[in-house]
Amino acid sequence: MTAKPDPLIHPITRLSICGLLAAGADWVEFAALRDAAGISDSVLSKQSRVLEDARYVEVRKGAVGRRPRTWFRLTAEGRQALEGHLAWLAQLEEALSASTPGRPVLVPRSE
Amino acid sequence: MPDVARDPAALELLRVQRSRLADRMRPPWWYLPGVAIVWALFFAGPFSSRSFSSPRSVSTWAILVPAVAVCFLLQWGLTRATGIKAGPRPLRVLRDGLFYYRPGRPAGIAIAVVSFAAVGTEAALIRHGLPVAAIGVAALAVAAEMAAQQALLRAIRQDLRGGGGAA
Repeated sequence: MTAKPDPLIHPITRLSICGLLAAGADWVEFAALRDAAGISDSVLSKQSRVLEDARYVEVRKGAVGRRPRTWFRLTAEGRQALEGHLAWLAQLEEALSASTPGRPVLVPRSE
Repeated sequence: MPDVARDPAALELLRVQRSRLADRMRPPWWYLPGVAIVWALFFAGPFSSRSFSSPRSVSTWAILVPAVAVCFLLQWGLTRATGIKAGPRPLRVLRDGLFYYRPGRPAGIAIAVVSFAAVGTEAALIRHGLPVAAIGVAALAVAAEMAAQQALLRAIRQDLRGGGGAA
């Protein structure tokens, strides 16, 4: 995997959407993604459309009764782009940590 | 929209967001009792030949079919309640052709091993005229399956929190 920035997932909202979809779930529902990312319905709709057009995200629409339900999944192409972008960000983080020795190392919380 | 390409704090934000997503993967109140009912029905299977007058195959199906139906209903309900579909697919094919195991696979294997071992033990005990011991084995097996199921959900949450291997 090559660590390189991807201009499409460069904005934080799209990075959040892709990062959350890559987190291990097969499909994530609209409301779950919106709440986890902390964004509004309209922002998620707009940004997911951009990612869908770029074939980074697959969208499945359905309904439960009269309530529409939209599900998202990251495509293989989107995953590859995200991994490259995250690796690039991690390199930046590492470089920053090295330049400022007192800076705490960020570790994901475990159960 | 803020530019984050030169801001590694974006990684920390992503970790926080993944934690939020993982926290959604908590089963609703009815899920674990429902799973217990499914396993109780499953482990009642070996008793079917003794309890029903119909041929064994029919009576076993009469227990297993509702158990499988409830199982699918629970999975559908969990997906709907959490908004996350994260299993129980055991393998995922990556673009480069490699395979990796889903989170909680050890718990999944434990579920399978306990179910086969318990059903076999129950059948042997029933054949030897020890139905009370078989009931005890079934009760222990349900408890073990519940513990494994909770471990499976914990592993899925852990995987969501850790980013599923996506850095």
